[in-house]
Amino acid sequence: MNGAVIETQGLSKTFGTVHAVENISWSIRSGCIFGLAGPNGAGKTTTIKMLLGMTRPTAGTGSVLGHDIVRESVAIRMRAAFIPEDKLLYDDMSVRSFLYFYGSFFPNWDQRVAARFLDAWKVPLERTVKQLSKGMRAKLVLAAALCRKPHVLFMDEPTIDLDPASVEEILSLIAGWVSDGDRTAVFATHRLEEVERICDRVTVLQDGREVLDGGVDDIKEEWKSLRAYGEIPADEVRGWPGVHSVSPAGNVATVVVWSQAAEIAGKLQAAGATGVEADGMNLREIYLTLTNYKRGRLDGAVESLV
Amino acid sequence: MFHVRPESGEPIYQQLVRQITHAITTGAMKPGDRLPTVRHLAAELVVNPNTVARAYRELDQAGLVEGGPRKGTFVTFAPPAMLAQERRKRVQPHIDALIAESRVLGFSAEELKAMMDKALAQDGE
Repeated sequence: MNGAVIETQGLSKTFGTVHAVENISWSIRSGCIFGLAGPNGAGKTTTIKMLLGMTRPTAGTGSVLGHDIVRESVAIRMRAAFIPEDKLLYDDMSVRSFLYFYGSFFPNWDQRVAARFLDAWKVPLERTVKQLSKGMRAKLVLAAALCRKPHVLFMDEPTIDLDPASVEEILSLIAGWVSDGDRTAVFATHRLEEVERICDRVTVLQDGREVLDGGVDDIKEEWKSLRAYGEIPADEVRGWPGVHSVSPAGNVATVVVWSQAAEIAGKLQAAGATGVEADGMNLREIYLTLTNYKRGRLDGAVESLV
Repeated sequence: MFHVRPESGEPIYQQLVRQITHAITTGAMKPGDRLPTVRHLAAELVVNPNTVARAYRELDQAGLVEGGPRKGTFVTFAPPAMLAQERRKRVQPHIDALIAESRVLGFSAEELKAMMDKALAQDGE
């Protein structure tokens, strides 16, 4: 499939008066690792659950692999695997019997996939699931999901609480997995540094709304932090196309732009700046700019993200 | 061989383009050398395969590599003769200075050549 694997139009979910997810319209193509980022409570899990038919949208429509998310969710769940944040496993089973039991539910199950990964990761097959370390459990769950040979893999915080080496192994596995054919991964996380590494596309949610959406490298190419030296007409500059914000501090102003950095740098010099320097911005810096984060004012939601 | 810093503001595909270009123009990678497969490099660097593919496409368009997803990607570019000229340009001022200094100190051209030959011979040992 070369077209969109996941499509949504105005997808929204309201719980009482709370807008958990508002008006999400996506078109995600095959072969993508899609990062769904945002602080805890931003709407990531609710969005994934709507896509898998586990909760009904209040408004809007969507499809996964061409199947309607409300009417054809069974078909979606046969072809997509989901790794929830609270990874419920059968604690008293050995790893071997867990795989055997779990696999019996799925027609496409290929035990060789699990055998290959678990061997490479040295996950002991005879040990009971509850005896495994957090890293081993996360790997077991991922290996089990891949045995189902899904076309789409949804992961909700797959790397939470893991040691750096396990995170590395899991991300590397996902990068390799999507390279091997028509496969798509949706990766929900509050860790922007992981999105930055492994995702080619990202949506950042904040209070259920998209605050940033696009190709990770494209975003980095466009967003720049310009330092303008000398006097600049700050209020006028704020109105220029492509300018996100202007923060003057004495004789140096920081001008954050989301597009046309080179043109804006030229215009700043024409408008009186004696010099302009451009710096790249990483996703964390862009996110903090977008949510108007001020150093020293720790907002709970922001704190959990950075 | 390559190393990316995902947290940098520089897009990852550009970091790869820069590093591979450097390897090719300095001769560290030669025409005919095979680049790692997209899958291999993505898993090794733990970056998105589409990002690696994008870097390879850019290098292909720049005429540095050629290839495709099935046959592999190969270096096609050799540092041009201009680079040899560039190397000569950098040594020339030292030779000029050496000659000028030798004249001031009263060495003849033959003496200078003999000293040069001796020094080169010792350097080669």
